[in-house]
Amino acid sequence: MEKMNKNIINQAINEAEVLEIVRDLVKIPSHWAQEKREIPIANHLNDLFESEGIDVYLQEVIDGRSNVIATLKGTGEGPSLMFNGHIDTVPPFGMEHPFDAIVKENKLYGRGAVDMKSGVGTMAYALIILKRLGIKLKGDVVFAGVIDEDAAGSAGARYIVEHGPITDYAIVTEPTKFRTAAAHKGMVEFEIAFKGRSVHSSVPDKGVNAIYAAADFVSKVEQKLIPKYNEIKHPLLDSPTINVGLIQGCAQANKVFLLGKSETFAGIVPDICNVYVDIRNTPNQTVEQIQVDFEDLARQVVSTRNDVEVIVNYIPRVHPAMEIDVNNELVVTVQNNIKKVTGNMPSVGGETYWADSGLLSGIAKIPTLVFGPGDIGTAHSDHEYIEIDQLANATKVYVLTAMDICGVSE
Amino acid sequence: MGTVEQKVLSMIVELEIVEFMQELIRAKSPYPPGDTREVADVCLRKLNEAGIGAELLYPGPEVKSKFDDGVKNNHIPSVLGILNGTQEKPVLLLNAHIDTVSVEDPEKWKHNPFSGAIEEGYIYGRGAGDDKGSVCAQVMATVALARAGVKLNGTLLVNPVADEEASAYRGTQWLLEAGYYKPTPDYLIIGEQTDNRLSVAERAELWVEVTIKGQAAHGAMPWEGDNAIVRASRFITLIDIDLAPRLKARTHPYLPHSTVNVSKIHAGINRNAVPEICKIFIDRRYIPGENRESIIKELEELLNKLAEETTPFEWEIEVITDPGSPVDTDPEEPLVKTMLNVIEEVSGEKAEPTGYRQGSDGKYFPKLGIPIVHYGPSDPAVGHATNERVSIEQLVEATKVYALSALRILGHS
Repeated sequence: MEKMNKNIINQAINEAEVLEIVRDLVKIPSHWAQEKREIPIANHLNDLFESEGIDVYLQEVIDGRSNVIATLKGTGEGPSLMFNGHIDTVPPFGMEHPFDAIVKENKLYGRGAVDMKSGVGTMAYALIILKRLGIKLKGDVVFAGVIDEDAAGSAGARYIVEHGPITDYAIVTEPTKFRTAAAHKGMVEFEIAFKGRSVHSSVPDKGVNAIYAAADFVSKVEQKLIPKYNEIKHPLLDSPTINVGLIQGCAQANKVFLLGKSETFAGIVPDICNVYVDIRNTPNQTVEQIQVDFEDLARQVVSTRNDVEVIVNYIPRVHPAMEIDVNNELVVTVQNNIKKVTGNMPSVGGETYWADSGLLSGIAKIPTLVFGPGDIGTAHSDHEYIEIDQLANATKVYVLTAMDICGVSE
Repeated sequence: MGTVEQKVLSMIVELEIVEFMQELIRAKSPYPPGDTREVADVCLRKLNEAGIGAELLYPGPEVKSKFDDGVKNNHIPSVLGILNGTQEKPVLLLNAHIDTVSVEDPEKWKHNPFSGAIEEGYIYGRGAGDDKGSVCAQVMATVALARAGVKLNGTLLVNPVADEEASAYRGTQWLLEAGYYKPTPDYLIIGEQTDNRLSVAERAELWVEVTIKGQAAHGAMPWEGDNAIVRASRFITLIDIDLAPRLKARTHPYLPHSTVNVSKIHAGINRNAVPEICKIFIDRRYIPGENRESIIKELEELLNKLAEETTPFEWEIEVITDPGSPVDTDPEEPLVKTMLNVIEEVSGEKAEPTGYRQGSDGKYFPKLGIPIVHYGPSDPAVGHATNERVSIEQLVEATKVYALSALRILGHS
């Protein structure tokens, strides 16, 4: 049975066809700098599934922008599996021919070629193959093409987490260099707002400079908290990191200048300084713990200074970490299928980036892993590409994994 | 006091001073928008009525302010009046500004800020202290000298000037650069609020922007980058704990000590990227003995020290504002001694030199190498404030002091 399946599947998967599916996706701009956003690409995918006779619908999320949900209904006897990938990309930036889907040697170039229209195209193709072969599965296989991931809102995946479809397992098909990623970090953001007291710049001793307190705080992050976080180790992700990404400080009266709305800057001791930090946390750290770490540090700063106030504000954009047990059936199955398709079994790893998998795993509690074709290294760059021979292979891994996880009805 | 001086003093009439002061306040001139046409006319008329040659001076289109404030050059005239004597030299320049700051909260004032209301010996209004009180006294002193028919042994220039509140690009700085102060002044009295005390010194200010450069990287991989905010924070901490205390010890007999204020910081485009560039504004107020070069060198030393303690990095220092130099007039100068005597005679109180703690147009003149003093009615604490006011008694006293000082400094036949 299995042997037969593999041969049938190998014959059914056409390298030229999957390349054309991905090329068609690259040719349709779906970045945030154009007005229609993901609407054209969602319609295209909807049409593609309909033409194959696969149940599909557009799930409107915001302003006419929709997720694409396609389903191969199972008999109900097995677990369900979702393939999830974002259908938006970043804008072309400086890329030449971003939407021409140029093929050169073994590479397909274009915006989204690797991040992640190859992932989206191959998982769509996997459903098409399963449908064409008439393989009857016990559990449902769901394709979810979601909006707004590269635009940093993840509105599409957040909608699914809240409104469904919720499955028993999920695979996010972001590029992983064809290895299984069983964990990635989360993202936690805080605004640390220091408040001092403004006076005229000619008598600074009579005021309280909020920038000095903030600078002290940033130095303490560097000298105390980062070394402490470097001691926290995760087997797949190494240590959590902290980035002080933004700082803005001036007197309230000079804010119009800072915002570029005035040419005039007055000589005043700044009473406001806000520091923004971005923490990439490991799955074993909680937001609450991290907030306490930053509050402790902020308190140390204000305790040595007169008349400085500080508030640590959590920025409520939830980006949970993802983690799945390396012995989970989904991980084992994907690993085995990578071996079957390529002949190698790379070790299970972790990813450096955050993806919608964090929401599926952290909020919907769906056991989720990340596996996809291509190398994230060229994502968002001016020479983004995917190696073409990975497309058919990725499709094979998805088809086999759907059969193994959902089960095949005799 | 000689008969000429007596005659001049007899020309100084309180009622006329009060009325002129009210007229100046009613001729609104807040910056922004800094429209001085009406107040300049008031001054011009008063001088012309006394037979003093005076004209309105408008900055031409080539004169540019650093501020893109939409103020039209043909809306901000200054006034320059000249009282010629028996000879050209020496020359005394009286300078006081006719523009004011704006009124943010008119409902909080006891009186309409542009009415010139009088209550218990004070005239209220925007500019009463800063600086129309001084304008009034300088103009009225010149008028008194003219009416008395005094023949000065030199030239008296009286200069109600625009644009002081906007760094004088279209006022004193322009008049000085373009050579309007002719003949070249030998003595300068800046009319500013000193509570009728004599100031011989003023600090200057220098604003620089320091740009600290690191290396950008993705926020998920901060180890790949070099965070410019982290570097800048260490530099700011050095300013706070190393430079500021040293400046505190840098003192002057008549002035507040030198200071530093990091007045702005700005860095980062996204929270999730390692910032490559961090920019900070540094606002230095400095005393005589310091200058632009020494201040920049001091900052460079701190940056070098930081690089030595950590790792090398790139930085740039750009001068944003460098409006003039400190005023540091020797108290032994005849101008100072003469004026202290006059102040004592007029007020009946002991007079000692002091320093001017705010900023004035005085800072543009040290390059002329002439003695500069500040003197004018009203307590500096009420400048720019709600219920700004000037005492009528001080206004009259200041008029007398300017007139007698001009007589004695220039001499008369």
